[in-house]
Amino acid sequence: MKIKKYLLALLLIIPFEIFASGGSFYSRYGLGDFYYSISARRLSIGELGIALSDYDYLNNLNPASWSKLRLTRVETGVLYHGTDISSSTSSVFHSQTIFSGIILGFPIDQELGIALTGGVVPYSNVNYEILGEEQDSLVGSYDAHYKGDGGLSKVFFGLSYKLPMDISFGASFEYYTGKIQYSTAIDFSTEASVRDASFITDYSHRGVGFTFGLISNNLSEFLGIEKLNDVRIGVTYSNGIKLTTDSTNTSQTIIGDLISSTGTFKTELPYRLGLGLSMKWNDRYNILFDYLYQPMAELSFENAKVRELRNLNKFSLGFEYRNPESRSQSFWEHIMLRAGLSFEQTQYVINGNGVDQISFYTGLSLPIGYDNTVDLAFQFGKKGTTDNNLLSENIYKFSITFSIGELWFIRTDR
Amino acid sequence: MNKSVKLLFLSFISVFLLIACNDDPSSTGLGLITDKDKVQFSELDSYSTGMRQSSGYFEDEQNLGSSELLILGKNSYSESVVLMHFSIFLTDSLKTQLNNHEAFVRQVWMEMTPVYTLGDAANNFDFTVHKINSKWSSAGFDKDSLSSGSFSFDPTNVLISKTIDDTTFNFDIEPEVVQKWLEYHADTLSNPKYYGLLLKPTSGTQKMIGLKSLQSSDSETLPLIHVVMEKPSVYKDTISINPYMDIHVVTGEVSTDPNRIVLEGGLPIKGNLFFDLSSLTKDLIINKATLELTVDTVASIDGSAKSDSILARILKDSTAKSLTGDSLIATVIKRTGNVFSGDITWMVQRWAQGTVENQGILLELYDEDESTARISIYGTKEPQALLRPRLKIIYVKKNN
Repeated sequence: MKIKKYLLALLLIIPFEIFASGGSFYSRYGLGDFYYSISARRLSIGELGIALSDYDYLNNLNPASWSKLRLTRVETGVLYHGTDISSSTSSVFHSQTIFSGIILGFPIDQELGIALTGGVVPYSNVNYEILGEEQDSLVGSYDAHYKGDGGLSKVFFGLSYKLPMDISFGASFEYYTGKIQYSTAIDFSTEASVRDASFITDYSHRGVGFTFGLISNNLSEFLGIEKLNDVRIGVTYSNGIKLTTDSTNTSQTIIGDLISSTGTFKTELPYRLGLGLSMKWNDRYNILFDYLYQPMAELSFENAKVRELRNLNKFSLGFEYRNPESRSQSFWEHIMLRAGLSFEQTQYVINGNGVDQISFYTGLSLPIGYDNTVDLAFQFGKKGTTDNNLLSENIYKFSITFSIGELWFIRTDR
Repeated sequence: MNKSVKLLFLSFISVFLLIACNDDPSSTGLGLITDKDKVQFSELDSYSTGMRQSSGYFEDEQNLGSSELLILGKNSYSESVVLMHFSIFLTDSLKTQLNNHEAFVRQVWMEMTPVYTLGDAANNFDFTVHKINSKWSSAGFDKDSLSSGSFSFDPTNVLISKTIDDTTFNFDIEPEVVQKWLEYHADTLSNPKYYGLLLKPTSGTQKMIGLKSLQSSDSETLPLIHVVMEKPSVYKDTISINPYMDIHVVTGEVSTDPNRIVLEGGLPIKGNLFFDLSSLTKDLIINKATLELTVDTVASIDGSAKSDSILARILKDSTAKSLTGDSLIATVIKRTGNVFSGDITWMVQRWAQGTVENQGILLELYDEDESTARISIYGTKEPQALLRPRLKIIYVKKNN
């Protein structure tokens, strides 16, 4: 109980962004890069795992996965995100460390698969910074500083329920909120008589959405393959959301910060559909196939679509080794090993060239007590290319997640 | 358990080592910033655009009580007189001697320090000294006070002699004048009160001289009266008396040239200047706004030290000539050659933003309390367009 209290207190005072200094250039378009799951476990199996339901892990992608929850559980962690960005002539390394949110799950009735889960997790991330010299015939040379920072977060709570035939269903109510700031600053040399200037645009988004999920019953008996067990299909759907967006344009001038205009408009975030297949081989190996689709070409700000966005498609493949002998006292026998691969047609299309990403994942879980683990994950990804004057980004993500479960709400027999 | 704690510790160390690898922002990716995401610099020049503009000048209220100079003299357009009042402290023994008619003033001369001249050195300079007969105060005393019926002075000139050059301004006055002052202090009930001296230029004077006043920060050059006292066969001594109140008052005619902005010290004459900047919108940032004013050297009369700076302030109301709350903030426009030039970026930004309605700029000589110079600037109606006031603005705007 003490651990949870400390964690909760910590999470209330730590902002989502712990350290940041630029990141993916491509995040300047749309609502930025997406976070699919906060947990190191999900990261190490290709970030998705839509058909995977566990008694000892929580995930925010598919509410149906909560139906097997055994103990009251909290998951939280930290995510380091390094980006090595290269153009055809130069390169730069930026990094960012974020608090990857918190999810709390409460099993209410295990037989009926009812579990109440809620939390707050990052949804998207804008983080880029470019500084370069520009020329103008009127004012000469100056430094132009382009920066974007912020993102959306998702506060959610939902319920799972086990339908007849061992089909799990779940739904969550989601509140999206967050600020994204874009700035363009012009700095002249100290000798210049021309004064510096900055334009800052702040967008504050908020809106309500829902996610529905299903995980099928065990389909292995239909396949009749020996050692193949727990074959399940998962599907998740998040509705399109009309975010209310408040915008403020601020100019930093010689007489201070001046608000030049404000407004409120609608940002339409398209729906998201996920499909997954999970299976167990020899009761030790989880094998996962996942697909995620979001028609990001339909994203619009004030009814205007973004030219640099296209539909998002993500395919992933994940493996997990897990010793089924949970009664063993050996530390090493409780270690879980994971690996994954993914290919992503990201939502970005720059100058007519689509930006794709391929990633390799690996990770492990270390036991820190009964049903409690610390999970580590590493992702190496390659996004984009230096062809056609685009940028190639090598992505290094490192995630640490604590998954801590405790037995709560014990009914005492009289 | 220990192993997991160690691994966890190593993981955190690794994360922080990775954070330390972070680079400063660079130009990588700059090529992908499209023109629509960039900024656009533009110029607005009153010379090259048909910007509506207007200018003028007006006589403002006089407030010379805080001037560090006392200007005495006369020229073709103005006259300046000096008023001084003195504070005298006498010992009881001297009071007794004065009441018994045993002590006498034998000589009185005044020393002042000249620091300013306006007019040719060879021009005639002469003045008279008169006893003031009415009560006055330097607080609020102005040209109207001088001509009002409540102010009077004795037309008799009490000046005996004077010595004036570049560094010396000394004059002797009749000892009887100061004798009366001392006698008043010795017996305030029996003797008439006194109100100081008025220094007035003669009608033939064509020059002005500025003398250090009581407000001067240099205590060694303060004006001083020296009085030689004698008790026959007993002592002969010199005492010094400081003025406790002084002021100069300038009177004159205001120029009436509609094609000029006339700025003048003393009276004072201030200018107003307006440019129509309604084409500037709220979403732009002013990078530079330079105001240039060209001097009509033929119509200008400058002193030494020169009036080489103008203060520019934001006008709240161009009709009432009232100022805004931040009009205490003034921009100094300096003269180089025949052009006054200054940076008024902050004013133009205020007008563009709409935080202050553009009612124009108030112009005044930086040293208008310590000068009687007349600086004539080509106005907005000057037929030669290149001599008119010029406002040159560079601003930046985001393309999208």
